[in-house]
Amino acid sequence: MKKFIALTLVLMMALSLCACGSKAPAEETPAEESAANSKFVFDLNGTQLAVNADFAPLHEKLGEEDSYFEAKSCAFDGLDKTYTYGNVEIITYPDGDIDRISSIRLLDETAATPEGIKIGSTTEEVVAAYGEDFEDVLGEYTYKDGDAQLSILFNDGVVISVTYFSLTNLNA
Amino acid sequence: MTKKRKAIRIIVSLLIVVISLFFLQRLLVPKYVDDIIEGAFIKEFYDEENKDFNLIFLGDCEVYENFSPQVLWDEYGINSYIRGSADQYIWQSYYLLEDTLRYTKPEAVVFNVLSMQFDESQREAYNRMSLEGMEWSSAKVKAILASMKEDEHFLDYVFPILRYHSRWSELNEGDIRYMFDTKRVSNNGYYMRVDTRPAKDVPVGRPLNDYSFGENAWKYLDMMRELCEKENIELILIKAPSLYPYWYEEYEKQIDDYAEKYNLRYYNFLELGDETKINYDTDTYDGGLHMNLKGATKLSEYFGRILSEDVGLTNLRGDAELERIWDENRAEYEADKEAQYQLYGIKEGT
Repeated sequence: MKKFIALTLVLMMALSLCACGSKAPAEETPAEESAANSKFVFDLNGTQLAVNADFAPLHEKLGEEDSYFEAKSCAFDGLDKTYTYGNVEIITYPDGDIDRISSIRLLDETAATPEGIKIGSTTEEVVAAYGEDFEDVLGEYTYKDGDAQLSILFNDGVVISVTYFSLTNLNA
Repeated sequence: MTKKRKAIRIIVSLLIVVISLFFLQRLLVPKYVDDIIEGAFIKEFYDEENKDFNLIFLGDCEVYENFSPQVLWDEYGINSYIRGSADQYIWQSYYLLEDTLRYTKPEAVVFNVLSMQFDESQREAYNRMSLEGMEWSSAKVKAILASMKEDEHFLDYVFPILRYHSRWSELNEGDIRYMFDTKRVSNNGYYMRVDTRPAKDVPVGRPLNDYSFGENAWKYLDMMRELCEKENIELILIKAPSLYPYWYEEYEKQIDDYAEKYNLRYYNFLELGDETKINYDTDTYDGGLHMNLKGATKLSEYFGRILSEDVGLTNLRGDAELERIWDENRAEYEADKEAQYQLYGIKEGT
């Protein structure tokens, strides 16, 4: 009987201390890999930006931002940080010690994606640039590529918002 | 071996296993004392000696970081508690109201409407911080069922060890010190901060394809209103003066219309800056998201006057038991203030 108790306890301890049954990190697509392979890459003053990329080295290349805002993640360590460079807004999310790009948004018609889409473009121009493989949710076309999403919002057939999003952060 | 002795041995063995698991679970669950203290707020309510509050706040960090029950008591004799938690979703607010009504029937309930923007839970971690601290009741069961994301399991809430068994590598001294008894981390649900960081470069919200609040959010707002009506409690809607996340005009209109339709009081403190005298250079500790003690005091003084004069909440000053409790609360409040001033190297009044 003593052996039975000891064995049961050991098993319980082992079960308690072993790795969680949820997805192991190694099975997930690393955010870095997702960023490197993304077809959605935005060029900001010669610096290539993709969502989920580690922002620190890119920040160094881009230099000082025009404005900066940080918001504490509700009750969590780490900050959601917003950097504005002229007509482009970059938001990062904390991933351990790293700040990764959560979204890249074009703020006015003077900024354009590498495919030439900007605020003021038409529906036809968007479809010509990105194709027809999109989901139309209430007038917002979303193109997905792995953990990245390009969202283009229209009003009366004219683009009013262009944003790259990290799906990793949205689904966290 | 007789059958009786065998049965006793089996029972004793099972007891040893259950007790061991209980201790292990107590060790492994997060204590929310030394960091992320917001996770402890919901549970603290049950430790209150007298839960006969005449005002209850419900909502996310926009309530527990912006309003001070101590000021409401000192200035207006309002006996209040904030049942707030990080990113509290409206279905959690509703079930927290059901839960609270098991202990008290307040004259009024104040609900912060920011969470109307969510139609489903966003993160498991926030679910945990709102739900784990609730005492077991039908309200908690319903709150869990309404909150769980696809990959969550009800059993993990019943036996948190199933969720936290891999925390063993993160254990620290606090996990042992607060294994059975934690210290108080809020002042009647209020999270105090005395430091200052002015609001600057607050981003404007990006255009959305749909500004309509979701069906689920409306359903729970209706349920909250109906429950308050049934219990003869005044439901008051507020939008705290937090500058971020962005509060769209389209959101405002929907709440305005709802309040008008059901004859509810609604105060958007973002639009009442002249009245509250909130100064975003001096009254916020994190760039406009939440008030520091100065801001929370101003806001509570202003709102307390409305609650007292317009809503007509009873001034409970003079009740001997409450006076004693709030004297004790005040001593803790002052001690917390002093500790914060020391922590941030600030002199009171600067």
